[in-house]
Amino acid sequence: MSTYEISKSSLLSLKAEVLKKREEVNNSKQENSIKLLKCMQKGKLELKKKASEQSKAPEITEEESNLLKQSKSALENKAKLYDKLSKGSKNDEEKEINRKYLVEFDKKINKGRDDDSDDERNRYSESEDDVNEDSYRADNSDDEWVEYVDCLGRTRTCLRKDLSVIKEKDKSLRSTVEKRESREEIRNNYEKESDEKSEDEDEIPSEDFKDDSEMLSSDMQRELQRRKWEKEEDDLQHKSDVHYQDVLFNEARTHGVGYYGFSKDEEERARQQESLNNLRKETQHKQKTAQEVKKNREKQMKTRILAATNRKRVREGLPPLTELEEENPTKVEPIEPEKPKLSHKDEENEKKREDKRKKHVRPWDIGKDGVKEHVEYSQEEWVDKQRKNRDEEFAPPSCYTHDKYSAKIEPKKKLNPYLSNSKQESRPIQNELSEDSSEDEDRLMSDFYRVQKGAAIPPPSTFDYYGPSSKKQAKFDKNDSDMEDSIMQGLKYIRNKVEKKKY
Amino acid sequence: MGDAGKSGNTNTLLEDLSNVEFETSEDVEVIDKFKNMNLREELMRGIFAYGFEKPSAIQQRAIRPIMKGRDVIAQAQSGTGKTATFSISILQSLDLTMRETQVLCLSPTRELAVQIQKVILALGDFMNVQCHACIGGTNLGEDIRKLDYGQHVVSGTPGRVYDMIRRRALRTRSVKMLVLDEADEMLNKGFKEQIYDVYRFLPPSTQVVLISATLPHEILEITSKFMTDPIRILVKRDELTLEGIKQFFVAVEREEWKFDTLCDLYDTLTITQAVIFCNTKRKVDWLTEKMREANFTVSSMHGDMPQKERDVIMKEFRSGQNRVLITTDVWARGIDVQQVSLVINYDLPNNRELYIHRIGRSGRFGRKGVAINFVKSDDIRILRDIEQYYSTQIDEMPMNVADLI
Repeated sequence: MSTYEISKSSLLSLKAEVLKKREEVNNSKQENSIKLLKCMQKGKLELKKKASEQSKAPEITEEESNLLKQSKSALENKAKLYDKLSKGSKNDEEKEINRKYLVEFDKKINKGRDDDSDDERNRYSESEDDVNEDSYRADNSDDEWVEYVDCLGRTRTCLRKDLSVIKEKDKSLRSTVEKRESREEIRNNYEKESDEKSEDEDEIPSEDFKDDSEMLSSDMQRELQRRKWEKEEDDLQHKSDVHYQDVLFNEARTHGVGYYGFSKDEEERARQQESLNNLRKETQHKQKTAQEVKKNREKQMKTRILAATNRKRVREGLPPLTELEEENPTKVEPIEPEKPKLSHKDEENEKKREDKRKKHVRPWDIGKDGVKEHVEYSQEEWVDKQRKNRDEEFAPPSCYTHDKYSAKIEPKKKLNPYLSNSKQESRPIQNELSEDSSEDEDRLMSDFYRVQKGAAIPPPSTFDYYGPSSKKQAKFDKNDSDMEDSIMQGLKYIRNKVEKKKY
Repeated sequence: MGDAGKSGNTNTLLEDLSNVEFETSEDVEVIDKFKNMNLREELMRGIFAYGFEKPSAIQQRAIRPIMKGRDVIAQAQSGTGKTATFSISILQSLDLTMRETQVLCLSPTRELAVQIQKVILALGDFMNVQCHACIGGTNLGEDIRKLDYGQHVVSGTPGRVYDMIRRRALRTRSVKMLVLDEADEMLNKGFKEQIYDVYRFLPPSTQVVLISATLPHEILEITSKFMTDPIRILVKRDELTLEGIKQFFVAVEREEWKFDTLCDLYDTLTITQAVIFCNTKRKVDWLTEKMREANFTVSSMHGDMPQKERDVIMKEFRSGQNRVLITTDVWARGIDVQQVSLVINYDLPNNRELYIHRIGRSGRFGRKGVAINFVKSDDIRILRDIEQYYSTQIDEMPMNVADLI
């Protein structure tokens, strides 16, 4: 049996050897990982190459590539959205969006943010360790695993010792689900009674949904539209300048070709108008220069033609012309259809009418500041007006007014601007027919009586005050036939009345 | 004042005009190009941008005299550009350097006032005109604030406008023109007092412009109270219906059959857009309910709804989201939606004027239109009367009515 001599040096060298080996292993490990990375990169490259080769051979159709692009962009969008959501929601709007998804981003954020307090993470890692251990142990004992059904109806398995934790989680999940459901219900109700809106409660910014608006139901679309309008209207309230685009509200109207939808932003709008104006000026300028060029060209043409004809004339032995003659008759300037100038007389008439208009006072204007009643009254109108202003005490005793010949003073309402001239007023007798009283009948008779006499007996001097005006008389004289008609009608009325009384 | 029409013992500050036949004034100039109207360049651009190329008959005649400052009474068929007529004149006469209310435009319904505001803003887009819709059912404080900013034109309904004047939110001292759209309605019993109230606050001899498709005689009679030697541009009633709007009737024996007929017509309604008129708000509600029960998509609007809802429904209908609208006469006058090509009178209108206005919701600015009247046997007489009054033709509805839309 040979024994190794264990010397200190050998021991040391051994140790050194071990260390060396260990280092080697470590190095190789690192190298391996780098190599692995390289390999992976290489592999990717190769794959790419292969792919490109493949594409050369069978060639991916455009459709397919489009599809790929689409899916890629969709994925990118998704990633963006996810990032945005997981980054956190600061305002209510975004929170509202979050409600749409079943993932509890809020919690995730909190987790992500709580880097300092690693409690949770530790716990998780612990539990992971546990799981590892348990999984080892679980092989031995099946009863460690428990099946349970969570609040969403999913069957799951877990370790018995985790059950209590999981139960708690399940509870909280259930509560959030219930909350969400109730919210959904509220929203449904809200849609039903859409007129009573509480705007700020759940506002969905329409922009975020633009992309998938086709997928929304028509009701949802309508709802979004309504909210958009409401928002627009709210914005309008704070604008001092309102323009057409602000009040258009998606109206389906075809405009002219010249329509320009200006921006709703005041500054932007001004800029757009400015640039439009500049464009316009430019166009006008160009038009002008083009016209000038055209004119010049014509002039040149003319001189050239003149030269040519002159050459001809020289050859023929005629004296040269200084200007082309033929041009003149063809270039008759279009005579503008001049307005037939108003003759002197017409002008004068127009002026007179204008003056008259200026002088005219509208009845509805009477009484306004600066408006005097400078209406020319006829005698009868004046009398009536004065009577209206008269103190009742100075009026003739009431018994006078019952006098047959006295004029009824009831014109107060006549000046009332609300009242229109009803048709009946033109015919005095008809007018009185409308009032049912025996008194009127008397008056009617008396009128009739008076008319019979006509102008044969002049009215008493006081007639103007107590009786119908002379104007009326004059009128009666003028159109006898009219009068006869009225009389006939009056008689007919009386006859009717009498007959009625009989029955 | 002529004494021809004077009657004896009535006080007549006013001429009696009941026997006068009103005719179009003799000295009405016709200008057949916008170019020749002496309009501002920005306004011209606005006109062409809005889609007008050549002035319509009423525009050829009425714009100039209004611009000149004369009082004008203008009548023209529905959908021939009356609103644009006075809008153009208004915009031409504005002094834009002064941010004060210079023109007051009154209309019978809130929707119409908003529409007029829209037209004025559109035509004056290049002028940067400021026009405010001053209507009831909106926030008072906001209204006051908007008026405080300074508006060149105020388009509104009489009640709110009067309120704003009284509160001194709307200052009238710079007002130089008053426009009454749908003038016959505005001077009717319901509105006349309110118009008078507003008028009393305007400077004396303010220019007044009356516009409507229908101007009955009694309305023309009272215009002398607040107008000075007006220029009249009138249309005879036998020329008031448009060739482009075909009118039909469907005879039903019983009221209940109207509903079935309407359901049968539904596919035709949705070809473009359609308006169904009932005579009462309750009936509008009832019909809407019933149509929805039968799974037809319809929208409805009437005066008892809150203004916000009315607004939304108008926007939805204007944007084309809703195709069928059941409504009352609140919609009969002036509302302009280009795509409406079918009007149904579920009930016949209460007067002849309303008939013209209702069917005029279709066939806008030269487009084709169809009007269908549901008539019970005792209604036929009324329909015949309308037919005769306007010298038009209302035939029984043909099978191929969809082809006419």
